Formats: sequence, structure tokens, C-alpha cells
Amino acid sequence: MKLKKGVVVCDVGGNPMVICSGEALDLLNGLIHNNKTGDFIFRQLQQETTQEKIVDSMLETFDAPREVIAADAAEFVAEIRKLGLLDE
Amino acid sequence: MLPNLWRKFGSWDFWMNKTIAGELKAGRMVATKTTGVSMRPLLYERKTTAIIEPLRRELQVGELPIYQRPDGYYVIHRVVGVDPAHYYTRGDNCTDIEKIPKSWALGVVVEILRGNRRIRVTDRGYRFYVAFWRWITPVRILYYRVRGKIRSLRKSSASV
Repeated sequence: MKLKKGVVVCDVGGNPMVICSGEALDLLNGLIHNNKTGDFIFRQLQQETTQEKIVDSMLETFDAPREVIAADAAEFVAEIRKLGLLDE
Repeated sequence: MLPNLWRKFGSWDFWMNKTIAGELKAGRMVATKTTGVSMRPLLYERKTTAIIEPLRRELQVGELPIYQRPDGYYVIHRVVGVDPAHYYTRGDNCTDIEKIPKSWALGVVVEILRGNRRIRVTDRGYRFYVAFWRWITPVRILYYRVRGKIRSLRKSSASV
């Protein structure tokens, strides 16, 4: 899975956010304000990846038990999927 | 430790156009796709996204505010003049100036997304565009007026 073309993960004035542009404009007219972890997951999704790979990367970066990270990452990715921002 | 905020999906701020004013007044940045032709060649109908930050200061000539008219309509036009109580604005593709009370201004555009291209208002290229557009404005307005006259003359001669 990967973010669709036109879904831009960026930092505007120090605020991590996701904005849709170009072909993806119809998916989200607005923006997603991310915190550090939300931004981390979105950045992982900029290239082809899997949920397991995301969890592995998060384990290297964040200090939390695998099961907690796996459950939360699954929930987060499900929300992104529900918005139609993923190509699978 | 994981900041637990990221688990709360409610902390993602999704909003649609109707809440632009509310978000900006609450001090949050917003982004919206642009519509209309009045800001060509910078903003294109449904092809560009404007990222807007809340207005916390006086606008300067050349800046791009978003304001809301009393009918609720949102407008992004460039500031071409300032007096103590008003801003004077004009679309980059327009000839007429609109005088608006300063209280109408809600935010200011800080970035524009066009396709995969990000244009920051601090970019040299953008600043050159603003300066150049300002410089050619009298010529542009003259061109539009002459073209309008020619068209109306053609129409009236065709209808005779």
C-alpha cells in the first residue's frame, strides 16, 4: 500500500500536515494536522509498504510494546484507508 | 513513549469549506481547493490548493488574504492598497478593485499547491511574480479595457 498520487505529506511553518493536490484534490478538501507519530506513519506510506513494515519502523523509533504499536497503527491506517488516500 | 494524541483520530482536523472562518478564527491553519478565474495565472479552478494561516497582523500590499463577504462567500484576492480601516484588493486576473473592511480578512495564503509543485510565498520565484504582475498591471488593465471595447463594438455592429 502507498499514498495516492497527489497526497502531499508536508511541513508548513513547523506544523506537520497532509494536503491533497492535483489528482487527489477531490479526496480531501482541507488538511490533516498530524502530530509526530501521525506524520511518521504518513511518511512511511509515501513509498510502497505494508502494515508490518510500518510497525517495524515504529518500533525502531518509538518506545512502546509491539502489540500497542501494531493495534494503533492498524487503526490509524484504517482511517487513512477510509478516506480513500491509499493505493492498494 | 508514544504520544497518545496520535491515537485520537478526532485530533485530526478535517473540515470543509463551511468551517474556514471558524478554523481561522480559532487560530488553526486551513487548506482549500480554489475555484474561479479571478486569480489566474496563479490559482486555477479546482486545480490548486491554498494553504492559509490565521491572520494575526496587518496585511501588506502584495499579500494574498482570504476574506468573507457578508453573503458568506470566501474570496482570495491580492492586497493592492491599505488605509487605516480598509484593504483594497484585486484578483490577479481582474481589473476592478474591491474595498473591504479590515475585519473581513480572516487569513493569509502562505503556500500554494499546484499538482506536485509547492509554491511558498517566500520563494524568490513567487516574489518575482508578484512584483512583475504589479508592474504590468496598468498595461494589463488597458489591454482588458481595449479588448472589451472592441468586443462591444463588434457586437453592436453585428446586431445592426
